[in-house]
Order: sequence, then C-alpha cells, then structure tokens
Amino acid sequence: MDPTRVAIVNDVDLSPVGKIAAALEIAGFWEILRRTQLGRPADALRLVIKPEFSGYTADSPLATDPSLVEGLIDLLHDRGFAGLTVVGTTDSSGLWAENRDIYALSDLLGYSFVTPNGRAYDIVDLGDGSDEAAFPLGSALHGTGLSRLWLDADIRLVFAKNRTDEENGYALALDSLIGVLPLADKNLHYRQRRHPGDVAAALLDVAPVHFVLIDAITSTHGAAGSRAPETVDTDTLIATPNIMLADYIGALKMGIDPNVSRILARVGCKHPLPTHYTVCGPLAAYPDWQNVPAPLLRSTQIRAGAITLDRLIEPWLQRLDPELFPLKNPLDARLNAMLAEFFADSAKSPTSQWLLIAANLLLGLIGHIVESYRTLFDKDALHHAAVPLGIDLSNVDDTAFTDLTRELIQLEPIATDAPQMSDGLRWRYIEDTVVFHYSQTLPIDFDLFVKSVDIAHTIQFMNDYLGGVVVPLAHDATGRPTRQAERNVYLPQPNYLVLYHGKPIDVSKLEVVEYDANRHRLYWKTIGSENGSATYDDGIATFERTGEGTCITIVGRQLFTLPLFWQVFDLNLVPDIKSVLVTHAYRTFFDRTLSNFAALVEGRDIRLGRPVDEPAPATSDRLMELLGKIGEIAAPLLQRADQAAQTGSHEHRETDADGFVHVQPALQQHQVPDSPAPGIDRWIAEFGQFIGGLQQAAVRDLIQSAEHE
Amino acid sequence: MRALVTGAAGLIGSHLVRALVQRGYSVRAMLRDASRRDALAGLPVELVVADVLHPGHDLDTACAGCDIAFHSAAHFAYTGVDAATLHITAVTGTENLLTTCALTGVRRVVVTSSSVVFEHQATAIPIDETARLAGGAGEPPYISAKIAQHRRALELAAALRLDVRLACPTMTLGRTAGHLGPSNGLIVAYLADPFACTFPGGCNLVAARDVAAGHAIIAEHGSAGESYLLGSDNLTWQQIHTAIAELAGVPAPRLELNQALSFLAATAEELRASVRGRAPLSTREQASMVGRYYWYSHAKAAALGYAPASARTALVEALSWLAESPHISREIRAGMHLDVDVYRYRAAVAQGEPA
Repeated sequence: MDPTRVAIVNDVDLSPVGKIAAALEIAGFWEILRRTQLGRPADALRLVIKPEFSGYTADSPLATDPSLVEGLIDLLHDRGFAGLTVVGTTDSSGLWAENRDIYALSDLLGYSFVTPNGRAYDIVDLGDGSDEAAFPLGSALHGTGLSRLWLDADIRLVFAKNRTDEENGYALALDSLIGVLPLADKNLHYRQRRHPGDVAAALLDVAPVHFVLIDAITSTHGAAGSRAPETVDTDTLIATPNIMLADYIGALKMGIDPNVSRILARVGCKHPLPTHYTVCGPLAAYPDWQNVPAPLLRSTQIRAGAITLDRLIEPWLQRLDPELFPLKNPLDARLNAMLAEFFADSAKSPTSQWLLIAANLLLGLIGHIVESYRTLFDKDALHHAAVPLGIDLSNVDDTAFTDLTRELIQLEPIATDAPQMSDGLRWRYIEDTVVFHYSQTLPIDFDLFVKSVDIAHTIQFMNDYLGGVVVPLAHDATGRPTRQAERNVYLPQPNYLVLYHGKPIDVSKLEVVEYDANRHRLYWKTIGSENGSATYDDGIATFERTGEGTCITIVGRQLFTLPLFWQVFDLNLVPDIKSVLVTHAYRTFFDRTLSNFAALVEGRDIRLGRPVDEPAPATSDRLMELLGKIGEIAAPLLQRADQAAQTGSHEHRETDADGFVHVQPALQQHQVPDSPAPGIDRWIAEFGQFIGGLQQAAVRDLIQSAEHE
Repeated sequence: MRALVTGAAGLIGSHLVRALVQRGYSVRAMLRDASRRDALAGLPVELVVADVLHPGHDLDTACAGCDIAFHSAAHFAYTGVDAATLHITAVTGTENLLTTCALTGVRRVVVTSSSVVFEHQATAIPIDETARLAGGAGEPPYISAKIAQHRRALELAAALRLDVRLACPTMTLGRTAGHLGPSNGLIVAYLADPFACTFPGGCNLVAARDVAAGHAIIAEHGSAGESYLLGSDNLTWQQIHTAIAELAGVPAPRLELNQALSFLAATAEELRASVRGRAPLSTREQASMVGRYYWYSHAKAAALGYAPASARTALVEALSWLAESPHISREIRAGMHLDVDVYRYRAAVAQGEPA
C-alpha cells in the first residue's frame, strides 16, 4: 500500500490556485476521486467542501480565503466533478452577534456563489436535515444528529485555515471539522460539555474525511490567535488525505508540538497517525511565526473550564467589525469596544498579556469554586457527562469475560472476612487497594425489585453517577444483556476532593451479568481510566431473594488516584484518621446507592444533573436579566437619592433689585412627596416587621425561660 | 344518600370523597375549573365544576338534589396567599355555600374548620371543644381566617336554620394531588434541613384518611351546631422530628431552636426561597407558632366512633407517598433510608389491604 502523502506547496512562482492544483496532484487527490467513482461518471460523485467560516471581518484571515475555495471548485469542474456543495453551519457566535448564519456570513466574507470561471455553486447549512440516529451507542455524540448531506457525500473535504488558537495552540482541520455538526451553539455542545477530541473522533468514526487542504497562503499567528488575528504571509498550501496528518504537519510548520492541541491528542488515541507517510515539501517552520505563549495558553485552558464565564467574556474579547457583525447585547457591545482592542495587544504588550493571564486565572478560579459548590451542595445544577466507550471492542474476546468472573470471585472471601468497620460494611487494604464488602437488605420483594431495577445498569444507579455509556455485547434467550462494555463517570469520591481539584472517576469496564430465579449478579472489571482517576475499580453486585426482601451485596476492590495535595499529605501516616475517612466515604456512597435502588422501585428518576444538550442562553443575556432585577430592587433607592440630590442642590436663586440673592429651598419648589417611593416603603415595612417579629420571639423566649426557672 | 363535597381535589376533600364512596354515599365532587383531578381518578363520583366564591347557577346546580354537603374547600397556607384571599375563601366561601344549601334544600352541612380555632396552650395540656374560640388577633392570617369562618358558620346556621356541624382537624398528613401544604410540608422541611433542627412546643398529627372518616362520622352521628376535634396523638416537635428521622432514615434532631432562632431560620428560608423562586418550606408566620402546644383531645368525636390511627402511622403513610413524590428532591431522597414500616405499609396498600 502506498504511503499517505502530504503536500506542502510553497513555490513562489505558483499562484494560490496553482498551489492548490499542485497540492492536489502531489497528495493524490485525483486518484482518491477516481477510486471513489467506481465507474460512475465524474458528475455523479457527491462532493462536499467544508471551508473555515469563523471570520469577523470582510477578508478575514481567520476564514478560508473564498477565492481559494472558488478556485478549488473550478479545478474540480475542470475535471468534470460538478456535483459539489460548499457547506457550513452557524457557530456559537450566532448567540451574541448578528449576521452569523451561514448565508449572511458567507456573503459578508466574500463568497460570490459563482466562481471566476462562471461555475455557480451553493452553500448549504448543515444545521438542516439532520439524521438523529447518525451516531451509534458508545459514541460521544450518540443521541445527537448529523447532516445527511455530510453523511451521504462520496467525498468529504475539509478546507481549513492556518491559524493559532489561544486554547489549543492551533486550530486547523480537526477544529474546522467540528463545524459540520448541526447544533448552533458549537462551543457549548461540542467543545465544553463534550471533549472536542471525542467529538472529532466520533465524527471521523461515522463520516471519515477524505481529503484536507490547509489555506496557509495568508495565516493568522500570534498570541491572540483567533481572538485578534495577526496576519502573516506564509504563502503555503498543505494537502493530504489524512486529517490527523494534516493537523500534525500543520502544527510542525508552526514550530509547535502537535500534541499541544487537546483535540489532536485525544483523536490520536482512536485515529492514530498513519504508520507510513511521505511529506513532499519543506517541514521547516514558517519564518517569523509566533505561537501563543505557554502561560497564555495554559491560563486560557483554565478559563475554559469555567464554561459560563468563558462564554460571558468571549464576545467582549473578540475583535470584529461591528458594522458587519453588530453585537446583539448592548452590554457586550460596550465591553467589546472597551476590551477587545486593549487585549488584542496581548501579542506585543506584556501588560495586556499578563492582565489577560491574570483575568483568565481569576475566572478559572471562580469557575472552580462554582463547580465545587455544585458538586458538594447542588449536584442537580451539573450537566451529565457525555463520553464515548473507552474500550476498543475489537481487542476483547470471550476469555476476557470468563477470566474476569474467575478473578473477581476470588475477591469475595477476602472481602467477606475483612473487619467490620460499620453496620453492613467491611473493608481492608490489599496492595494499596481497598477491598470492601457492603451488604444490606431492602424490604422489597425480589421479583418487584428486579422488575423495577435493571441489574445490567447497576453501575449507572450508583451514587453520584454523572454519565457514561453501556454497550451490550451478548444477550440471553430472553434478550437480557449478559456481557457488556461500559464507561462511567462519577463525581470525585469523596465529593470534597473536588476542592483539591480531584478528578471525576472515569473508568471503562467489561461486565458480566448473571440471572437466576433467586439471584442476579453483575461483575465488572476496569480496563482503563481515560483521565487516570482509577487504577482499580472492580466488583460484584449481588441481588438475592431473602425472607425479608432483597439482599444487596457489593464486593469490590478500588484504588483511586488522589489529588496532588493528598498525595503529598500522606494519610497513611495517620492510619486512624484515614480509617475513619475511608469508612465514612464508603458508607455514604453505598447507603446513597441503596437509596437509589429503593427510589427506582418507587418509579423515581434518580439521575443527578441536567441533560448534556440542554441549551444555554448567551451568558450576557442572563447577566442583563440579573442586572435588570437588581435595577428593579435598587430603583426606589436611586429614586430617593435622586430626590435628595434635587432637594439639596436645586435651590431657586433670585437676585433682587438691591443685589441680594434670595435662596428658596428646593422642597417648596419641587413639591417632593412626603412619603418615600413605594419600594422603600415596602422595605421599611418588611424590616419593621422583621424587627418586630424577632423582638416578639425573643420576648416569648424570655418569658418561657423565666417560667421554666 | 347524595353528598356534595367542596374542595374535592384537596388533601382532606379527596380523602373524604374516597371515604364517602366506601361508605356507600353517592358523591358529587365539586372542584374549581383549574383543580387537578388526579386524586379522584377512577372513583365512581360525579364531578361538578363550581366555585364557592362565585354563587349562582353553577353552585346552585352543584348543591341541588344533595342531602348533605361537606364543605372542605379552603386555602391552607402560611405563604403565597395573602390574608384577604384567605379570609374571603374561608368566610365568604362558607357564607355562599351555606346560603346556597339553604336555598336548594340541603339541610345538613359539615364544615371543615380547624383545631386552631380553639387556640393553643403554653404548656403541654390538650384542649377540647369546651375551650373558648380563639380571638384571632395577632394570629397568622390562616388561623384568623379559620376562626372567622368557624364563627360565621355558627351564626349562619342559626340564621338559616341549617344543621351545620363543624369538623376541626388537627395537623393533617397524607397524599394529595395538589400543592404540598403546610402539614405535609413539615415533614419535607425537616428532611431538607441540613442542621436537623427541632423546636419547643408540639402539635397533634392525624392521617387525612382518619380525618375523612371523622367527617363522615360527624355527619352520621354528630349533632347540629356542635364542633368536633379530629386528631390523633399529641406529640412534641422533638418527638415528631425524631419519628420522621426514624421512619425516613435521616439524622435525628440535633439542635432545638428557640423562638428567636426559629424566626431567624424562617427568615433565612424565606429569603432563600425568594432567590430561588420557590415556596419556602417554613415561614415567619409558622415560626411565630413555635413554643406553643397545639394539643387537642378528640374524645368527643371518639364517643361517636371516631378511632384514628396513631400519629406514627400518619407519618408512615405520608412518608410513603412523599418519598416517591416530586416534593422530595432527588438529592434528599438519596439521603433517606425508609423504615421497614414504610415498606410494609406500601406492601399492604399494593395488596389492597387496609393499612
């Protein structure tokens, strides 16, 4: 098999479109089309081209140059490939700026819908015509849609722009690819509530990209990335059939480690680079290229963790043409005018850069505090975790399941004979892991219990389950799953570890389910942890018929990764304290899990948090709403202050014939009402009632106390 | 016998409809247009839409042909309903119904009053129907409204020559399709309280099922112009909260708040609820009742055959329903471990056995 080819064309003698032609040739594009044709006429091939549209000015260096896209269309037409469509969708900027729908945007960016050679083309919004079943169970995007136009295309081509990015170091083809997804608020759904790497990988699973071009004729470099683009002539065009390779080579040309991008790093786990590839062209970094400084990059990543605040300041910092893309919210417009230009200097001005870094860190800290509060006290304000299955099922065979049951059964006697630490809970340490045995009986008839509680989903019913996916792999004669793979995400355990930046427990497991007339069992063994939060999380949950109801026994072995603070502050040095903490943590976890089982029998929804794809309005709109409410409350105060000011300062002055100035008090002139504003009245009345009520209560306490004495 | 029940969708009304059906009455259940019908689903009753605040054709039609009326329509609230509305619903509503009953030939009316009309004690001594009616001054608007209703019902009974009997339930617990109400709310408030606070004083708890049966007994065996307290056990708040803790499997009371602290805690809860846009679980009006003993004797009704279940049973029934209802949040439910008695009650109900 021929190695994958990457073309880096920077021949100064070639025009930009000439560079495209050369790159297509070198990277084997026409050969790909020929193979895909399968004897069909060229014009029967359905091609879709996804350029980058994220510009905020006419001729924006952030967007793929429309003249190059049109040049590419002409090249395709020249070879008979007329069945092509340019595609795009609205992104999150549509929430806060006007003219961001794909039709208005493409027009403002300079698309003319007819090529220089007179070939008409369409631009289609991929937000329309979604197939809601596009992503299978186990995909990070399962339950969301994808355009049928994109899915059904014979050739999917991404035409990315060469640009730095404050959060990922660079934004190339994988970033552009996310733009084919239909939900308008892309940042929220595909970058913040889901890992963008999981999203891109899920897209490549169901609709691989056949070819990638990177427009590096004029690039955007510098510290501010897409926020305040700084153009640089790089006069290069990159082309390859492999999207991972496109970003990889694109990053090398920027002189940056490709894995700086969390998108590429994550996608690479599932779609690694080809083992054999050939690069045709210079790999030396672009001259004078400037990347995002590491402190700014890291602080932006920290700020990105504070989703609401990150969304709030995005329109304030984005440099844009307010004539073409007016901001919807007056607060945004005001702050954008004040801040965007100031922070646009972050590439050159150390003051601006360090202020931005400080602001990023502060917002990140606030976000962490809010997240910690929610984890500890307001779990239902959190959003579900949407993650893909973290197991490559092609590597899993029968022996994996038989081995795991055999191995886990050996845990039972060890756990059963562990010392009793609390009612129903036993545990002990083995090789740094906690081996535990928890058993309680719910006075619920076994048959009713197993009818109400799907044992195969036991893991999802455990305390603090935030999200995940379970993929059945084998079933019994009645259709019940007997073998399955699962990935699950829990809140940090114990919850207070979130204060120390404790990670959510994120583990992928293989599971076996057994069903008997009087006993159902689930075995699970951890295969891996995407975020390194657990080394062991294995166990057996047994549900057994007894005279008192249903006995639930959970035996397991766990070793979770502690946050850095607790690794340094070694609790093993104070075993008594550690023992109390471990007992409390397990007791709380399993008691609440037991309550979840009981609640399921009651028909309750026990899932904590909110749906991952719950829409969120622009944060500035919410801020305006809040300010409006504060204004309503403060209005009476302001009114009174205003009246007072008028009373004090607007005295009427008259000079008489003798030159004496006569001052008339303002109160007489303005007839300021005797009574204050109604809002104030209410406040005073409320406060009076409060004081009166408190006074009465205190008096009653005193009388009662005296009577007792 | 054909019976009209006003407020048939409410806590007492819905249980009353069920009790009357079980006793063989032909029941006409009267609701307002906006009332939920869930609690009456499947019952062999005639539903009529009318409002005691709007006398006229609908109310006349609802009363026409009935032998007896049970007037249980009321607002039971310490928050969210202003004093004027509480008063109008209680007094004007009762006036309208009694007048219409007199006009349409309904000769007997059982009015749902309240035990609070007989005041409270500063010490742990139960009150009976021989106590004087409370004055109402300085009381929360709900209590003032019930006192006014009670007095007005007795006045009108004499004026209209109607056989009016007054049922005076104590703190009534049980399943309801409507809003939570202050009585069931006391359970939720304790479960939601992270500090597990209790208070001095106490009250009398009774199951809605028993209150409903009590109404029927008063109608059948009571006397005109008489009031009957319908309660069960008299308990201190400490005992009530301890029982809730045992049955729900949550921490027992840890802290007894005096009246001043209760007032401050209620203020904080009202502020919290206001910020969150929800109804508060406790109010300053309720806090003003802390330290008092709302203890009552139901001996007079018992002499007619009224035999309520224990207060603990009332709590079991209420908790069984609350635990599976949306009134208890997911997070609170996750911290509850229901007592075996709650499961036994559910099993009995599932098998159609009387609990």
